[in-house]
Amino acid sequence: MKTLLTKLKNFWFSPAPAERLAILRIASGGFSLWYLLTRFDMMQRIARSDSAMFETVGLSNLLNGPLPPDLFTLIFSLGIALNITYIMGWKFTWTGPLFAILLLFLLSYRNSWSMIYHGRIALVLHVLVIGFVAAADAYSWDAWWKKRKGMISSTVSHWRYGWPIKLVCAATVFTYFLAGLAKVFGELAWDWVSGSAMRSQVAIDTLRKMVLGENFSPLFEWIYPHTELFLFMGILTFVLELGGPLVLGNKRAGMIWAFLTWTMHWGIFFVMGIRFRYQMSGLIFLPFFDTEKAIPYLKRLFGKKQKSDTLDVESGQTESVVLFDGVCNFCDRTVRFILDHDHRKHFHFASQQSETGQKLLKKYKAPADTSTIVLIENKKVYTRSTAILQIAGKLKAPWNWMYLFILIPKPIREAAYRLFAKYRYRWFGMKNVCEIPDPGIQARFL
Amino acid sequence: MIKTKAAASIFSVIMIMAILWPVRQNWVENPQDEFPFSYYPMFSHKRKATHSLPYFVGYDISGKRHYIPYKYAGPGGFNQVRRQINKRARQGDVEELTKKVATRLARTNKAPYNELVRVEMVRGRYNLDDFFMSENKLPIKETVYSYQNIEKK
Repeated sequence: MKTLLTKLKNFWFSPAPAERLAILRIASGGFSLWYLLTRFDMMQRIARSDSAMFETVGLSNLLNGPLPPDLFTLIFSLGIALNITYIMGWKFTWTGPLFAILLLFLLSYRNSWSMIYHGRIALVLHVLVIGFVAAADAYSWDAWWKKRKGMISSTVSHWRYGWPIKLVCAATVFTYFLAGLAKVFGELAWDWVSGSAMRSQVAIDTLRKMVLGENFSPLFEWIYPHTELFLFMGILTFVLELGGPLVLGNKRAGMIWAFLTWTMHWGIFFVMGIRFRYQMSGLIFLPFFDTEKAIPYLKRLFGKKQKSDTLDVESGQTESVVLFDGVCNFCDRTVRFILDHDHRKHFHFASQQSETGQKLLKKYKAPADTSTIVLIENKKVYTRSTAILQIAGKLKAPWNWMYLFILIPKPIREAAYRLFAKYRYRWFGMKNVCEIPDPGIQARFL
Repeated sequence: MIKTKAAASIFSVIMIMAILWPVRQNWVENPQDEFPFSYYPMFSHKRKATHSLPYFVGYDISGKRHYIPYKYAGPGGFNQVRRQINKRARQGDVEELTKKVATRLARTNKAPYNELVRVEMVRGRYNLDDFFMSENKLPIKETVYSYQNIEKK
């Protein structure tokens, strides 16, 4: 028992960088600010609507009835102001908890008019955690001020940044878990998995939207006769909802779960036309990823551009060389695409079948298999999907945005790459010989 | 601000307990949903092959039928207004709402709603298979709760 508690304690209080928690503060705050601003007019209209429709939930239970509309407008405006301070991390010791409680109140009030919007619950829970912890020790006004005054030099990984991230992850998976339990213990029980029950649920939702003039998915009528599709979706939903808590102890499993649940929400959008924006944007799933690792890339993306690297194969100064399959039509097109969009002339190329290509593969101990694209950069070897994303990251916008796919768990990226690579000849054909490049670009080929 | 491991542990346990606590609603006779600690009852109810719901239908001078968007019935999101219409229908409090919808329709410039001459609050029963697998989009039964003529000003 003692060992288990120690293990749990070590897990819960394992260190994390301040930047990761700060990103969660900015992401949750950014989303809530967008939400409050876009709902401002609607909330004022709701506050002025028939008080008979007011059924209190959450913090609204403290009220005897609806607030006077002008007072509500004032509180709502204060919420927006505090939301800005929350994002900025200004006087966060005070503004963090204040904003968390005010957001809880505002969303309780919004949900007190006959309908609870479950899609917003995770946002409130995330802010409730982040608002009460040391989430402004990086990327914030407070951190900038402390650095300026010499009160801190730099932030290091610490348990105080780790446990709130774990708690946010737990809050996320448990909300899905409860949704799964409600289905199991509800009237449908395990029938929910059969597909037909899910189909009826979605059909009723679509019918309501059609007769009440809300946007609905045009795909639904097409898939309605295919019960087997709903069977698949029903099983996937159950696995993701009930299996959520199992991923809490494993980082990689957590990332895969987050990715699959994100795709489930896009599936819900395509089938039902329901937009769970916090979920579909992926912001809800950020705590499962090492998001701070994307920051250097973003800095590079928006910072000063460096000049093209120099190249000397023989001396080993080989920087940024792409090794590709010289007889594959698709690879040939990919190389041309890179040439067209590599505005800084960063990359050089060699086919894997060429003498130079073979030499480089051997020198860097890279896989000699032609289905594997290889990037050798600053003496580091990148392969397959990682190589592609590293290359994309150095192309001109918007292609360099593709680098953000690096956040997708590697096993998923690699599986997609391998599948594509396997069928590349069948889908795009192959050449008998490696072509000699045009004179204009010959210098870029080794 | 939470600064010690003890405070962090207490906060974590309370938060997780609070999130999980609503699970008991699955076993009580009259479950109550809450915010933000919900038991997520959506999509857990049994559905039949037919479904009935209240809504508004408008007619133009030629008698052509149009479904009236929920936005004419009240402010808020789709599901919120839908539930409010449901509540009014359940309580029999329909005249006032129909009058409001008629007034809003009389003011609108948006086609085809600006050409309507009459609005009805109804409850329609639909067969899901017929509705989604055939061209017939009409209800199998429709009961009128209340109606209003739309008078342009």
